[in-house]
Amino acid sequence: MYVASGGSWVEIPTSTGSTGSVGATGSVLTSFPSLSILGITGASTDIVFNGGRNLNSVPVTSMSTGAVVFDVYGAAFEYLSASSVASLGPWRHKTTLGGSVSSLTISNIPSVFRILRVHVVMKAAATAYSYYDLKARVNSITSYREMQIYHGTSFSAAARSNSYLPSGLSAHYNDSPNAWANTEFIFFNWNSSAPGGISCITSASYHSGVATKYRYGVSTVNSAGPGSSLYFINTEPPGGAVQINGGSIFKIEGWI
Amino acid sequence: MTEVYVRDNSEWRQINKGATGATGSTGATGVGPFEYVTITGITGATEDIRIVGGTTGIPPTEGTFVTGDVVFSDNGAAYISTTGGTGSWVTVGPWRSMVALTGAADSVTISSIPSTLSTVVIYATARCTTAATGTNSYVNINGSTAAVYYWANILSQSTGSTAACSFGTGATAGRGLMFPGASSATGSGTYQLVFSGWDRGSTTSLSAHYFGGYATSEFSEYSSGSILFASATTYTSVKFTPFSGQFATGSVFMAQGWK
Repeated sequence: MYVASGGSWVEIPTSTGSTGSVGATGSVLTSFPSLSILGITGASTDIVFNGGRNLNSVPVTSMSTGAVVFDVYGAAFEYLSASSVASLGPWRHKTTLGGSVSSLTISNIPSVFRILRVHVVMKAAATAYSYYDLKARVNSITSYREMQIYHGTSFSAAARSNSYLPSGLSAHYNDSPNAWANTEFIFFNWNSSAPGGISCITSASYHSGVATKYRYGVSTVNSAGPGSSLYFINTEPPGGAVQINGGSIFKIEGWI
Repeated sequence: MTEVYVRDNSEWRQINKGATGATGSTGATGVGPFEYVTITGITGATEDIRIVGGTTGIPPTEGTFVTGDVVFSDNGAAYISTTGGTGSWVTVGPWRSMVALTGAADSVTISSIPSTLSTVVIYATARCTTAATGTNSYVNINGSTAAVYYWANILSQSTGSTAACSFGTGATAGRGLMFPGASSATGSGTYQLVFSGWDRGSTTSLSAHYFGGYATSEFSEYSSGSILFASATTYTSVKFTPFSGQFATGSVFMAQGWK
C-alpha cells in the first residue's frame, strides 16, 4: 500500500513486522525505541521490547508490565509489574511465608514440565529438636518408594515405602537467625501420567554452628501423575507436626 | 496520536493504533504496536522468528502458530514453538538437547554439545532391559575408550552394604550410575550430572559430579560420585552405556548448558 506524502507516494506496511515499515522519506524503519506486541489468539497478552545492553544487573527503572530487556552479559529480564522484575527463563513460582503455617500447598503447577526443580529455604517454628524434617507430597499422593542417606555423625540408608517423598530439612527456630536449612527436590517426568512415572531426587543440608545435617534421597511416585501441586509439612524427627516458620521460601522452576 | 487509515482496495485499514502507539515507535509513520512481528534474520541467523505476544503462566493452548514463534508469559518464562499448529513448546533458556527412546538402545549419546558452554547438566531418567534388579551405566566423554577416566562414588543399597565407597580408573567412568532392570516392576533411575568447566577443553581435564538412584518395590540404590576425564581435548559429547542389557523404551536423557 502507498500513501501520498509531500507530493510523492510512500509505501507503508501492508502486514506486520519491522521489515515492512517504510518511513515518510522512503527509508525502511528498522529501529524503534521500543516495540509493542499485542499478541494473537492463544498468546494475547501485551509484550514490549525495550532494548537493553550493559545493564549488568537487574534493571531498576520502572517499566510497564510485560516489558522485556536484554543485556550483553547474557541476561534477559521481564517485568511482571512496574516494580517487579524476573530473569527470563523457565516457568517459576515463589511463595514466601509471611507468618508461621501448619502446612503449605502450592497448587496449579502446570503439568507440562519434564523437569521441575523445587528449592526450599526453611526454618521450623519449634525448639525441641536441633533440626526438623521437611516432608512433601506430589498432588495428594500418599504412596512412595523412597530411599534416603542421612549424615549426622554417621551414614545410614534404608529403603522403604512411605507416604511422603524423602525428607528435606528444616532448621531449629532458636539457632542463629541466619541458620536456615536448604532443600532441593528435582522431579523428573513431572508430566508423566503413568503410575511410577514421576521420580525425584532430594538433597538437603543444614549447618548452624549448633547442628549439621546432610540428607540425600531418591524416590518413585507410585501413583499416576501428572503432577499439579506440592504439599509441604514440617515435623519433629519422631514425626509430630510443627509449624513452618514465617520467612520460609519455596521456589519452583519448570522446564519443558 | 491521530489514528491514520488508508484505502487498501475496497477496505480502510488503520495503520497505527492510536494513543497506545505513543509508547511504541517514534518513526514518521507511527507504526505499531503490532499483533506480532516477524524477524527474517541476517546472515548467520536466517531462520524466521515471530514474536507473537504473551500468555498467562503456561505456553499457548489454543491458536495457530508456526515454527519459531516466541511467547512470553507473565511469570518471567519464555517459550518457543518447535512445530506449527497449536505448537509444541520448549522453555527458552539454556542450550538443550534431549534423547527420548522409542525403542530399546544399546547406548545413548548426547552429541554436538557446544564446546563453548561453561556448564552442562544432564538429567537422566532411565530403565534397563537386563533381567536383574538393576545395572550400572558407564559414561564416556567424546566416545573415548582410552584409560583416562578416574571415578569415585558412594553407593547405598537397600540390602547389603550401605554407604560403600569405591574408586577406580579405566576406559569408562560413572560406574555408580545405577538404573533398575526388568526385575524391578516400576520406577526409573534418575540422575543429575553436572559438568563444570565444559568449555575449558584442550588444556585441562573435565570433571563432573552426579547423584541419584532409584527406589522400586524390589530394590533401591542411591549413589553419588565424581568423574574425571584426564584427556586434553575439546568436549562435545557424553555417552551412556548400560553394563548389562539395553536402555529401555521411554528412557530420557535431557541436557542443558549455559555459557
